[in-house]
Formats: sequence, C-alpha cells, structure tokens
Amino acid sequence: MDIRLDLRRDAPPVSAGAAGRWRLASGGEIDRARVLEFSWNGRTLKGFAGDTLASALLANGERLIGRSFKFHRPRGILSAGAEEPNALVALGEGAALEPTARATLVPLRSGLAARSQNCWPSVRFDLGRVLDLCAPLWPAGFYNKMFFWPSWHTYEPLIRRTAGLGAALTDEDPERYESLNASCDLLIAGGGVAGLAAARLAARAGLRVMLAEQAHAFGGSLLARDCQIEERPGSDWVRGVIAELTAAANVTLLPSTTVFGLYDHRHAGLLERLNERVAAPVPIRQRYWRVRAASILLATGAIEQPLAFEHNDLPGIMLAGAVGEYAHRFAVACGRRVIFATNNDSAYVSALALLRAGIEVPLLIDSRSDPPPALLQPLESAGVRVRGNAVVVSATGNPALTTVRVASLGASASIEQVRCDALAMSGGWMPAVHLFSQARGQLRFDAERQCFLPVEASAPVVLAGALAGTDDVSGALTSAAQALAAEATRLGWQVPPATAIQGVRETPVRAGVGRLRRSPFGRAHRAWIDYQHDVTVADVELALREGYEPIELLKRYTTNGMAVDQGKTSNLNALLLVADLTGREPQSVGTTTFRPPYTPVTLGAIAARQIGDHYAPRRYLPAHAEHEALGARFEEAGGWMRPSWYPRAAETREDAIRREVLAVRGGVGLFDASPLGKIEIAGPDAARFLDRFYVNNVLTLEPGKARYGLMLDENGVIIDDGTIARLEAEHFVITTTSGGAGRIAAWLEEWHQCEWPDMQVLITPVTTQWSTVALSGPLARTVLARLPTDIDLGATAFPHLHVRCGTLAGVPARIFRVSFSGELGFEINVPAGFGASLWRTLLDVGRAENITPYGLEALLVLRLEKGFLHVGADTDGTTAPGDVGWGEVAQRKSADYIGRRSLARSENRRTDRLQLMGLSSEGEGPLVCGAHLRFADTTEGSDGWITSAALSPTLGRYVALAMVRGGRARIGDLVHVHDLGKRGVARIVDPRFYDPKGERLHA
Amino acid sequence: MLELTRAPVLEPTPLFLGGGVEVRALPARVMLRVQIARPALLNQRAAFYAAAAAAGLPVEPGTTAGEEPRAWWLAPNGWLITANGLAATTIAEKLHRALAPLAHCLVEVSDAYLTLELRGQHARNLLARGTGVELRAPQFVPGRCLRTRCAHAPVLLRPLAGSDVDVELILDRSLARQFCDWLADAAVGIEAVKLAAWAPGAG
Repeated sequence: MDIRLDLRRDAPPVSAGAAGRWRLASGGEIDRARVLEFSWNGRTLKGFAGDTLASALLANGERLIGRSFKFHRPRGILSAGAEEPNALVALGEGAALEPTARATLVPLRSGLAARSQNCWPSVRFDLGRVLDLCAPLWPAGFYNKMFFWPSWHTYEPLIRRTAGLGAALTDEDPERYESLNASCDLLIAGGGVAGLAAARLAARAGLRVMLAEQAHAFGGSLLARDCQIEERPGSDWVRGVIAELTAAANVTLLPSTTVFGLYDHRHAGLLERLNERVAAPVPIRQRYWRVRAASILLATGAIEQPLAFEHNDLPGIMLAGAVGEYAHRFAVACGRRVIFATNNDSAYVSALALLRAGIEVPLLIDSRSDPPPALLQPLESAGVRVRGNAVVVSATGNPALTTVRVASLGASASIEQVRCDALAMSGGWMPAVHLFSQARGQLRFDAERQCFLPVEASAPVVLAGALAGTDDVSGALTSAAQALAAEATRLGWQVPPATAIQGVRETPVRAGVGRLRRSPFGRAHRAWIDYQHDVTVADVELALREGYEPIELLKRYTTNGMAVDQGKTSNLNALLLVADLTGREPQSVGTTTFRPPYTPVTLGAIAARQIGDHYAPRRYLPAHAEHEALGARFEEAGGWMRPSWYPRAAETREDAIRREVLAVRGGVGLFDASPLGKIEIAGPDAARFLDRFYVNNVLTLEPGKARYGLMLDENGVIIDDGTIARLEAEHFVITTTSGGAGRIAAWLEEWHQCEWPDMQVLITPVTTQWSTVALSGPLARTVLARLPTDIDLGATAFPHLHVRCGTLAGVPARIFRVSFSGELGFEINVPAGFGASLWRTLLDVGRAENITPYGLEALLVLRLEKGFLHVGADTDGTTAPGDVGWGEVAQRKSADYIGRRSLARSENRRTDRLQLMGLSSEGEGPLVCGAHLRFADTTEGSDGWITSAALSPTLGRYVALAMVRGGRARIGDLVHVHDLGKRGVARIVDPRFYDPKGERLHA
Repeated sequence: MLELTRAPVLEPTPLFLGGGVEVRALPARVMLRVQIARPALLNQRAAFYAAAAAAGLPVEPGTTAGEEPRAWWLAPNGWLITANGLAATTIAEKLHRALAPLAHCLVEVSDAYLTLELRGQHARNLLARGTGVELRAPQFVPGRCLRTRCAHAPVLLRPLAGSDVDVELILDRSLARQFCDWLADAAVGIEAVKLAAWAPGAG
C-alpha cells in the first residue's frame, strides 16, 4: 500500500460542533446526523450515534475520568477496548446502578447517565488524593507488614471502606437477566478480520456458526486503521460480511458478547450485553449463553501494552493504537499536539492516521535504533521529528499531561522537554491468549515480538489472527482459512477449499518489537505497571528483593494483575520486568494462570431466572388447592409446599397448632403425607437386598406386615428412617423421609449397580404415584369405615404395623396401620389423581367427628410428645443408632448391613457420646430448639443441645428432645439450659413423654 | 355409593406463551414402568435381549418403539410404556407373557407423571433456556427420546413427528405447576433469540 498523506492543513482539525470541541470536522464511523445527549458527572454533554462513552467523553475534552484504586491518582482513558484499566465509571443510579463499567465498551445512547467512581467529593477535588502524598507508606504488601498492633480488626473497617473502586447495589436489581443453552458447529470468539473471514467461510459451507464480538461493533482493528480488503475500505468490507452473515439462517451473530470462559468438552460461557444494543433494544439486560461447540476458533486479537516511565499514568497518556482508533473510527482528537513513544512499528501507523486527520504530531520517540524506513520517510516529510534510540524520562501535568521529558539511551545527553497534550505510547502487543490458556493451552515466548504466543495444538481450539502469530490483515485472513481447513479435516466437514481473499492493501509493519519497555530514567516508584491496582516498578523491585521471585507469588504480593481487568495491560510488562531484573529469560519466568472470566460477569446473569420462585425445585401436593381453600399456611419442607397449619378465623399460629394437636389426641385428624418417600423393591433377592440396608431385620418380616426401619451409611451414621412393608414375598414398599425420597432411591441403586449387580432386584421410586393421607386419632377407624372398601379395618384383622391392599371408594388403595402421631393411625394411599378427592371425601364423612386437618407443625408436636425420632432434626452427621436408643437392635441383628462395621469402632462404643434424651422444663421459661446444655459440674464447653422443643398441648408444659452427653446415665439429673444469654433449668427424662407403652397405637 | 374422582394435574386449556409457543397438558393416560433384572453374566444376555425384543422394548439407548403403546428407553434395563387407549392390565398381561422367563417388574405410574406438548417455532429454544442437552437434529429426531433436567425438573422428551420443533415432554406431576410457571417466564423475549439453524446436508 502506498503511504500517502493528504494533510488537512487548510481547515481547523477540530470543530466546535454539537458533539464536542475535540471532534474532527469529518471522517469516522459515526452518524453525525444523530446527536445523542448524555450526562457526565451531572453535566449534559453531546455525542454522536456510533460513539462509545469513552469517545464521546474525549470528544468533549473530558480527560479526567476517575481516580485510581490505591492512591486516588487522576486517571484518564488509556485504551479503546476491553482492556481499559482506568476509565471505569458508574452508569445509572439507585437500583439501576451499574458500577465499574468500562467506558470504552459502553455504546453511547441518549439519556445515558455516567459518573466517576472512587472519588469524594468530586473527581477534580478528591480528598483521597492524600493517600498519594504519603505513597511511600503504602508499598507492595503494606497490609502484610502493618496493622499488627493492637489488631488487624482495629483498622479493618476503615480499610474496607477505603478499598474498592465502585459501589455495589444495595437494592434488589430490577433488571431482567436470562440464560440460554445453545450448540453449534463453530463458535468464533472475536469479530475482527480473522473472525469475520472464518465466519463467512463456515457460513457459506452450511455450518452452524456463532460469532461473538465483545464490542458492540464488529470489525476489530479494521475499524481503527486504513486498509482495503477485496478492493474496498476495511469498514465497508466489514459491513458487507455482516450483511451476508445476518441474512444467513445458519449464523448467530452476537455483538456486545464476550466469550468469558472456556471449559471442558468445548463448553463456552458467553455474556451478551443486550442493554448495549444500539438497534432494537430489548427489556433484558444480559444473557448468559452456555454454548457447546464442535469446534472453537479463537480470533481474539492482541492488546497493546504500555511503556513504563515516571508518571506514565497521567490523563492524556494513552495507548498509540487507541489514539489512532479514536481519530480514525470516532473522528476524535485525543490531543491537539500528540507525541508518540514506541518500541515497535505499529505506533508509526497510528501517527500516520493522526496526521491524515490533521492532528499535529511534533515528535515520535523510538527506543530502537532502527526506525522502519518505509514509515520514517512519510512521517518526516510531514514534519514529524523521529528520534531513535530515545525514551521518555517522565511526564508532568496536573491533572492532565502538559510536558514530556525525553532523553537518548546510552548517552549522557541532556534531557529535552517537549510540550504536548497527549502522549501515544506503544510497548508492543500481547495476543489475548486468555481463553486459550483457560483451555489449558501452553504458551511460548516469542523473542522477536517480545510477547507470549500460543503453542499450537496444545489446547482443543484453533487459532487465527494475532493468536496465530500474524501481524497484519493478510496474515489474519490466511490464518482464518487455515484454521477452518484444519477443523474440517478433523470433523469431516465438507468445506470447499478457501480461495485467497484478493485486494488487500495495508500499511506494512515489521513484527519486531524492541525489548525496552521500562525507561531506565526517572523514579521507579512513580512508574506504573498495573494502572488498576496501582502497582509500580518499585513494587516489583521490592517484591523481588523480599524473595517473591516466582511470578505467581509476585502477583499475589504486589497484586499486579489482580484487579478487575486481570492484568490485560500489566501482566506482560510485569513479567518482562522480572526477567530483566533477575537476568532470566521471560520463558523461564513464565506467566500467571488465566482463569475465567476473561472480563467481569454480572452475578445476575449467572443466576439468570433462577431467582424467587424459581430458585429451587418446588413441588406441589395433589390436594394443594384443597389446602388453600382451607386457608392453610404453607411452608417449604423437603422441596414441597406443605400445609404448616390451618388457622381458623383470627387464630394465632400457636392456637391453631394447639387445637390441631388436641383434635388428634381426642378425636380424629387428617394430614396430607403425600411427600412421604415411597420406593417399590421387587425381585427374588428383594428381601436379602433390603436386609443389607436396615439396622432392623427385614428377612423375618412377613407379607402383609410393616416394620420401622433405620438406615445407616458406611460410617454407621443414621441417614434415613421409614417403614418397610412387605406386600408379597418378593415385593416390598419402603417409605423414606420426605426430603430423602430421591436420595435414598439413588442410594439403593448405587449399591445395587456398583456393589451387588448380581442380585435380582428392581427398584422403582413411586413417591408421586400415590397420594397419602394420614388419618389419626381414636376415631380414625370410625371415619375410615364410612368409605366403601374390601379391606377389613377391624383392630384384630388389621392390627398396628400391618399393610393391606384393596379398593377404597372405588379406587385401588394401599393402607398402612402406622402412626407418627402416637394415636391409632391409617396411612391411606390412593393414586395421586384421586388425592384431592380422597381429602375432600374424608373431611366430608368425618364431619360428625369434627375431623380436623392438621399441618406439619402439629405433626411435629405430636411426634415430639411421643419421643419419635425426626431424622435430620434430632440427628446430624455423627448420630449412630446407639445414640437414639437403637443400639441393642443394631447389635442383635445377626446379618451384616451397611454401617455395621463402623458401629464396632471405639468411638461408637463410648458411653459419653451424645444421646437423644427427653427434657422436661423445671422453670417458667420455654425450652428452645438450639439451646445448649451444661451439667451443674461442668465449667466450660457444652454438654449437648436441644434438637426439638415445643409447648406440649397434651401435657401442658414445655418438652424437648436433646442430644445430651452420656444422657442415659443421667436420667433424673438437672441441666442448665443456655439460650442466647438466657438461662433455664430442665430435667433429663425418658424421651417418651406421652403414652410411653404405646397402648394408643394398638387401639 | 361413595366414589373418588380423578382430577387432572393441570387444566387441559392450552397455554399460549411468548414467541407463539403453545403448551398443552394431555389428559391422563396409562404409564407403566418396566424393568428387567440385569443379566449378571455374559451368557444371560441373549435371553435378556430376546425377552426385550419379544416385549417390544427398544434396547438402543435413547430411542422409542411402537406408538400404541409406545416404549421409551430409560435405562439399559428400564422402560416407560405410554398408551392412550389401551388398559394398563391389557398391556401388563402382554408384557408379563413376553418377559416371563426373566425376573422383571411392572409398576403403574400413570398418576406420577404429566405429559405436555410444546408446539411452535420457538418450542425447543424455550426448553434450551433450562437444559443444555442437544435438542436439534441429528441427535433429536422422531424415534429418539432423552432424559434431562430442565429448570430443576427431570423431564423425558420426544420430538413429535411431522415438525422440526414440536416436543412431547413428560415430567413429575408434583413439579408441573412450577415448571409451567417457568415456561411462561422463560418464553418472555424468546422470539428475539436467533439460534443458528441446522442447514441440511452441511457439516
């Protein structure tokens, strides 16, 4: 490409037009017909459609954007992309606040409200600046060395208030987020020249393609420079490709979408920022895509790196490529008099772009001694003084840049002072290898380019563009075609061979990058490496002096690369500095680990719609509507929405529970027990199989009978309990706790499939096939007998702990004589479709007996009065059968069962283990669940705690179950009860408070 | 004479959701869970496959066989039988006869599940909000079925014949209410999503 300059010397380079006094009079990919108003720190400014917030701010001459993290130094815009470490702003207000948004990625829209962060009272006058005045007090790792006296916690509140950049939301986020799974043949990360070329080839071959670009406009570096592809200007070529891809049914185009994570099996996480869409905005803020792709092509480009010199963080000092991009793409002058400093050729191209735009470039400083001849001539002919073998010594200005001091290398030459209002610097380019590294790809140091490049084929992705080691448009196009061809071979795609794209014209640049990035002059503690975390050259030097030489240690000690930008403009410089300071090769210094996410991901997008009612699975009972009609209060238990109690009129919760308990004790109550886990076990080995799971003997259980069963894990810890019922010789139904239904079915399957596959057993979970109603109380039989049935309900024919199958009111039924209330009880199971009808019918036929529906709360009081175990409430991850009074049964069983071996361990044989006991209140205060116990002779620590407690309506006093250390040997003793500062006294008693002989069960 | 009556899990009135997706709850139908004891030894496999074939049970993972009744593959030794017109006892008798040589069990689960039909251009995109499983050709075509978890609910899916997008979905009755609420919520804005379409003959 011919390098010709058409300098606009005849017209003022910047206009005082509507959208900013630093806006160039012509050019740019902006729509000058659409003026957008936005607010910045409370002032109304104007920009054009096509601007980013950053370009609009620069166009309005806003150079001071925010304050730095640690020293509150004034900071301006550094870059034009996702790597931006300085221009982090707060968007919106109140619940709609979005903190720490990168101004370089925010498309300008009308009404946008943005403001500076991390400053008080204002960004221009920030009291936090005092921290910079005493900067020597806060070197790397200062918080590890200070704040020891009297305690870290003395300082912690102040430090926590001071630390951080933006402020988090305090209100509920009103925005809508959503997630979506998708699959495709080819996922392309990066919509620059390589990504677009690959997408077009793949789309034409009929592949399902997803193309994600983190900016709101596709094109990448093509938008930032002059070049031609297929005889068209680069931006025209981009528009043409996008039009073709938009029209293709097999392509999903995702602008404003970042591929932030690559996981196993080519699973990628994408964040689409829909609120940044310029056209057709949707009422969704962000969308989290989980994409499974047959192939992933990374075309993520490269990130320009800064140079390190004294005060290299002043507003007005920017990356050279960004300065060129703002001029070329947004028609914005970052300064009226711009100096360039570089160690590579790319800054020359940016300088040419500025000259074309009519911006004065008085000086270009190159640390190398061999400036590119092809680029040197046009610059010099345009009046640019190119100084080789020279570096920036320091920059000055307050708050923004006004002067740069320059000196030659290797000579004691005098220092030259140059006045300017912008410095465009380039320390070389680092390919965005983050996703490649996340996919476990290896990196190698490229000495020519002074950066790390991917080792090809070391990760299950293919590469194009800068990641493939190319430096120009031609190389990017070729690499895209090659990557696609490689994947076509691997996956057997029918992709026609790509023909080389013709008509490419661009400014030629050499790949070589000078090694020098850090100025040998100036003060190291004022030369920034990591802008976002305020890490200086001196901090790196200090860390090395203190022995933190391994790069991962150095990163954590200095916090370099640990800010939200994850070191996109600092990692490479830090490790090259370490290499220089330690005399090692960069390859041996290595890199730190890149982990997801590439850029920050909003937690709202990860949660998406799994919030509120959809946070967790919620199951509804077959008779839910009946319970609602009765005015039930519901609670979530074991994933089910269950009636908790049924208040009548103005009844309080306590009154309702008391009434329900007394109704069961004195008459008849009705409880919806449908969530009770039910599992059918069938097969010739069913009895032998089940016998291995229970502490109780299953082999001796006769058909038609049921038995309580306690289930342990391998450690001998109780994991569930329920009823084992034998319907036929080879057919059992077991019940589990409501919350354990799924877990226990999986437990049985696991043992069957993994340990005893030879047993002929078939396991079928049937929890929701059956609706279960517990009819309890002395009058239960009277009420049940009013329904037509072929089952003899008499006490002799159908005694306690028996099961009968038959029909009830015309439908198949399984009825169990079991009880969790301690009263005469029938658990009636009918197919779930008839559950609501059964509930209504029993209420109807029991009206004469004043049948009372009771909820979960009353049930738990009823079982507590009986001292029945509630697994999960009374037990924890250490409770063995002996602790709950089942030690003898567990020992007596002759056959082996899961957990038995562990019960023989010395720990399980100790007599001072926590044992489940009853507590009877001896004072006036209530017994409260969770209260701790202490014996009279105990001086410190706890001797146990209350696991269940209630004011017993039947007994008229507080009763509780408690885990008590060596409790069985202490029956009759008094214990002190401690509950949140309150003290009480209780007596240790047998846990069976009511009907200890169980006579009422057998009625 | 008192007789209990059966109530549907959801009213059969179709739900019309965003993006033109229509969700319809099918009336209760016969469902049987069939399991055959796994062949523990290699020489028992032939008898296992012979019995499965005699009973019309597909042994190819993730497939269905037949239409009335239809057998859905759930596991190497487990199937779900669905039928709209046949009685459970009729189906069970036939299965018992075919499977008689092997230990097996049939459990009626007609009341445990609800069947939904999702129809419309965005029906599968809607499900893709809740599950990562591949819902497009060639993995998911008539004759195949799959089990996955969609928005907390374990579901069984089958493409409906005659359409590239319509799906039959079976889920636990207790989760039906929350699942349908979720569908309605997930359908908001679904029409705005453009997923890369499968181009026949490509790839």
